[in-house]
Amino acid sequence: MTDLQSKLRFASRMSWREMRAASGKFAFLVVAIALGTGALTAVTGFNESVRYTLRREARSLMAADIAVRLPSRPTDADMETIHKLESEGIQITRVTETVSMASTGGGAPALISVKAADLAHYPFYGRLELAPVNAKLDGDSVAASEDLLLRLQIKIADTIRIGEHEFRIAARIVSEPDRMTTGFTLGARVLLTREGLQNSGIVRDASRATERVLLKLPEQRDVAEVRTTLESEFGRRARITDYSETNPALTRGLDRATRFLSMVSLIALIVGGLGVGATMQSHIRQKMTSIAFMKCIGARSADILRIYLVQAVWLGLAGSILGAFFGAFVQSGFARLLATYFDVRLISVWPVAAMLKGVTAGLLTTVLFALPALLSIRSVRPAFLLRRDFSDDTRTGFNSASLIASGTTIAGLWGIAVWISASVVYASVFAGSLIAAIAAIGGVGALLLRFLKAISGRAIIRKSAALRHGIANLYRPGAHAVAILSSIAIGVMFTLSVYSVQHSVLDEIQSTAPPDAPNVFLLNITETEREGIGHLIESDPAVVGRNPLSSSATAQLVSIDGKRLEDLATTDRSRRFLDSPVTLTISRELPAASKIKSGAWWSDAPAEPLVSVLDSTAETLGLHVGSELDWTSEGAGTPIRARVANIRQSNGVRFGNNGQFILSPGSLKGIPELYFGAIRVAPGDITALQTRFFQKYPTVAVINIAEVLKLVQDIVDRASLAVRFVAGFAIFGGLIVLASSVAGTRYRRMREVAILKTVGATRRMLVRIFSTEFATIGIVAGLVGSVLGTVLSVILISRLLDTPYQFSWIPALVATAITAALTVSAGWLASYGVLNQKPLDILRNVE
Amino acid sequence: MIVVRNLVKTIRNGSSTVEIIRDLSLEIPDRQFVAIMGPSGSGKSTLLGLLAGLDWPTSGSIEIDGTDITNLGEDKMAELRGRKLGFVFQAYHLVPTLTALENVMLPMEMLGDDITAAQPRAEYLLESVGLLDRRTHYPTQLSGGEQQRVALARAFMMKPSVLFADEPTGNLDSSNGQHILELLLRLNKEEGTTLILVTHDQALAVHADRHVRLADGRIVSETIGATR
Repeated sequence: MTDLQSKLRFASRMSWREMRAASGKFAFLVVAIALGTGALTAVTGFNESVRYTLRREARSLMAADIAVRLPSRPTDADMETIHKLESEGIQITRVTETVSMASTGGGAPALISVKAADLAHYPFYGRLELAPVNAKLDGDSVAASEDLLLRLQIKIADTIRIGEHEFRIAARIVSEPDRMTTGFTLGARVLLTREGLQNSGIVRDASRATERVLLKLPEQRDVAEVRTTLESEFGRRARITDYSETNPALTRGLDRATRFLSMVSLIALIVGGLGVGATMQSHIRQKMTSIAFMKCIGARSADILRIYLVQAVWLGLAGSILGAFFGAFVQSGFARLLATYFDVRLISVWPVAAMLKGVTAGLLTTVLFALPALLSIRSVRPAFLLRRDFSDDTRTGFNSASLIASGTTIAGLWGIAVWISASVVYASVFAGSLIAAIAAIGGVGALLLRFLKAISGRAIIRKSAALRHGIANLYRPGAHAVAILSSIAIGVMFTLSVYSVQHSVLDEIQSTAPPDAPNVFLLNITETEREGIGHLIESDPAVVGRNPLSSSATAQLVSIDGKRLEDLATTDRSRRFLDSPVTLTISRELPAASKIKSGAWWSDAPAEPLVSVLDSTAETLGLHVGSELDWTSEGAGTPIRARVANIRQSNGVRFGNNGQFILSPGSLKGIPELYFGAIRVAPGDITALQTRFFQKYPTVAVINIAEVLKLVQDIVDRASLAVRFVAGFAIFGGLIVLASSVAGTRYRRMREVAILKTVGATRRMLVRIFSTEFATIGIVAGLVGSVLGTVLSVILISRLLDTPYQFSWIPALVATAITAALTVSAGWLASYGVLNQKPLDILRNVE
Repeated sequence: MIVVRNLVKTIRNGSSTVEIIRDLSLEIPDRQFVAIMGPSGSGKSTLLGLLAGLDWPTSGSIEIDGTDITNLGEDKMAELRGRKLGFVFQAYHLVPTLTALENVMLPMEMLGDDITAAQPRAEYLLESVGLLDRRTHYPTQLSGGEQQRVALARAFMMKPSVLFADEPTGNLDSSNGQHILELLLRLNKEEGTTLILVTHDQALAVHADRHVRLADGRIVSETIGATR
């Protein structure tokens, strides 16, 4: 047995003996660590499950080996290229998706999301599930989602009108294998055959539609080779993906969400860590005589440090392994919570990598937070045993060891954050703000408590024994009120700011929109319909605010100042421009609620095509006045080229002609244009207006902004539910830390109860004293957390929306009240039985 | 052999410094039983702490068997304590999370020695203090006298050449105190240790070979005591 082995063996034996005697106190710590680790494992494990599903079901989720996505209808030349592949044994089918309206007879039309496919081929992989199972679609029948059936109050075999044609509903759509590729849609799903699409007449030359050509390769063909061929043919006009990529847009979104949520779960872990730190501190303080004694009989500081380090490692391991398994189970619940958003049948796997990551992070956090307490062992002098005040130079507040310990803890946490988020910048911002928040919470909390203590001498508090004793209890040795308070407040802060952002974003959009802001959008207006629609808008009495129809084209940004976008796009945000086409609109005047940040608006007839760029887009792409942009758009022989004339700032989120790129009049000449309208309609008249428009122009989509907002709210709600779910772990962790401290002072409390009972305190009085103590922590933590949470919301919302935040006291007060209720409950749960002891038993036995 | 030369210990108390031991010199031959006595605040416990290497003097030197302990580092000092010195305190200072047997074995474990050898000796010592049947009990399950007997057994675990005892009977009633005293003397004789005792208790002190009286940090009188 080597020296190190025997040392470690001794350390393990000693630490086991210690824990055996204090299992209750440590059980809480294990739970606190398990919560943080569980949250982290759940978040990263969910990512792992989704990725596993995407990988395993890759072909089904695309319904093909390769998909070629085109913004609009493929040209004959494009189709020829694709058809050439058919002679090589590659199967091909087309899928078209667009937004339109559907209606029963005379009723109000509903927005629908149309998918048209050749069901003889589609899908190449996976299964399209319809009910009834054997339903067949043809040129006169469609399948509709449950949503639409409910919305229009129709059933199978009823008839609906889409565009210019009447269709029989032949089936209900149960699931589509490649639903995910469509992403988020405005209307309820309706599935048509290719023939049915033709009959409806909703997709015409310039219609806003997404065209996907799906390819199935023969067994032996190399996917990469075919893909390369296609890429050289289409260049940037098409977005080509193959199944091995597992939906880049989705995985990017998933990774971003995971990164954010894993940082949130890191908060829960840190809360657990604060508990570890506080408990270890009081634990070691209680063990001072034992430590001094061990030094007395020959133990070196390192030997003793090793005992408690092994103890911390045990705790960390127990907590994080428990948490990793817990997280693996939570993950499947999490999957159910979010799966509807991704529309994937998630295969839940044992997220081994995530569990390992969780255990490592949990263990490291435990050890890091235990470090300051562990290092304080070094300053315990053996002479402590003879006389407590024996030595002159021990235990002075700030020394270099404690600074090094805190520094190491902070650096270590930063390292964990970098490792989890895989981004130095992200982690640094996060760790920096978190440390600032903890420092602020700790500082303010300590000040408030000190203030309470100071005023507890005042007459008003002196009169109430419960108040006076309750507040004095916060300063009981081993009570570490500030650490508990901080760990609870940080959870409150986060939850409250998520809640505020969730509720403010849309309220803000609605409440700050001017009364004449457009609330109805008209999409897919072709050249031939333009005049008629214009007249209808002019003459319809329901329309209270009118704007001229704007023209637009869908185009793909290809280069900036002659440099290819592929070479320029380096950030996640700018890469988005690589994958998705943008809408170019035309305007003569600067849109309302906008202002020019640099450059100037154009004159009536500029000499060359000019473009006005939204400031955020300009920042993402690094554009400035004078930059030259090139887009491609099918139908246009040459690229659309325009020079940046100005950078424009939009005041808040506005609907209307206020997109990323607005071009000067005449810039889109020769390109098939689509028109869109933005009008203001009295809210009560919107349905009737939709019906009137549908009767005359069934292919024009009339979109009620209120419905879009409802959809956005739904997504915001779901996303914030996920965030709050994870943040909830932090609050729960804080309560566990409180419970752990209360349990740690259990014997002291019993003794106090005994003494107070002997001097005549009633049970009622004791209940009031302890409740005051727990409630004070809750109220102070709730207040500090709410105030900081509000500050955080103000920063977030003003960054997101550019508008001042409407402060409301109610959520902060409610949060404080809930926190106080929770701390009182947690405190009493942990002091169960304390009041039932007989004074004599305790005074004889304890200490 | 313990040789103390010109020992001084001052402590800072806020802005003022207090001299607790003032230029004290002393020689203690092997196997001697020395009782250090004196009123409260005379510096008895401080002297004991310094002799045992539990604290460092401000100036002066202390040699134990030829080694100047005032120049030893913390860890070296700890090892020396473990190998050569034993302690008994007024407040017993048993480790509350360890059983009686584990407490007695602790010094040997602490030095990384083979604990399979530790158990028979620990059990022998527990037997000699009459507590073998209580070996699995925790300190809280033992009375004060019993705890001090465990502490005594523990002090002799490493066959120390010097045993330091700080008011070992101070917390006990007279009959328990007498019992401890008898054990202390018996073990001391059996094991052949030097015994340095700080006490107020005259009944305890009469058994000493030599009495050293302190006042204000100085030795004010020394007497060679009655034979045992």
